[in-house]
Amino acid sequence: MIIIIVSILIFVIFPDYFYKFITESDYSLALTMAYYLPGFFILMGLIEVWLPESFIIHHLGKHSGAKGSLYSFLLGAVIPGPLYIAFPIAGILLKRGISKFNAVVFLSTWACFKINDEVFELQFLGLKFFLLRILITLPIIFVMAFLISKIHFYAARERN
Amino acid sequence: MSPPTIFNLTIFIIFSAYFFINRKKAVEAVKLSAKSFKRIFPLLLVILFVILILERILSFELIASSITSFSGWQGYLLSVFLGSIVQIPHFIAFSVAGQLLQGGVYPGFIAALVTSLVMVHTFSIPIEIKELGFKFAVIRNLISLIFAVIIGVIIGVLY
Repeated sequence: MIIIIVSILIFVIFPDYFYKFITESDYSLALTMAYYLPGFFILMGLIEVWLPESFIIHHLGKHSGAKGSLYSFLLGAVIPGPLYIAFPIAGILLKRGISKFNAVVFLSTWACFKINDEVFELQFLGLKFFLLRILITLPIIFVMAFLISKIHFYAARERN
Repeated sequence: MSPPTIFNLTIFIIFSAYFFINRKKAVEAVKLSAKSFKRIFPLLLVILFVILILERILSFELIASSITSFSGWQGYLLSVFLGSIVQIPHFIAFSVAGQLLQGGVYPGFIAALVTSLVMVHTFSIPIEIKELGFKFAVIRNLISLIFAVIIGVIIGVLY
């Protein structure tokens, strides 16, 4: 809301600048997002309708163990798209009974180990950097997921 | 084929398969999609607008090359800070990081920069708060920030 008001103000006060902004901005990011949107929203609807709650709880819930983490890892690595698209998906999965640990694993792998981005990392940063980063980040993702779920757990308990 | 095309095609194939199995529920899924579209899209637009403004004000190559003049803990802090405020597609980030690495920037700083860039998103935090809750979003971003520094330090030592 605030941003819309500010942009309208800018438009009123500096029309030249606003015009320049609209015509000269780099829209590649906006376009990348727009390409993903149709499939993304259909995916959200499908998750909500198709996958029964018991299925998600069984495979990704609190008692799914290492297999559940592996599934959320694969999910995060395979689905392409920027991170802010992953938040609603994780939100729906959390609402349907996925554990906090797996949600964090999902989000972190989405960010760090997206397959189509890793191709670029290998190409630009070289094999040594690529391998080192993957080998070090991999265990740290699970440490992070553990920490976050613990902190969240204690925070929730204090409130009750 | 580009990744978005593959993604959309896959989803489309899954959806049409589902449509033949259960027509009524597939229609329901489309309705739910429209609902989540209405809920999320305005926020996405606003965030994109902010990112566009930022891209105009600062260029990533320029600020990323400013890391060269720092060393030690200041360098780690600066690269993590830069990584968390910048939001650009990952392949652009990787190409710039590759240039920096060849230009002789300390690998630990680059690792911290890349890790915080992919994990910490300051400007899309409204979406994260809306979908996952304030506490979850803040804790996740803070812990990612801390571990970005740790990953940077480890890689700096090992590389």
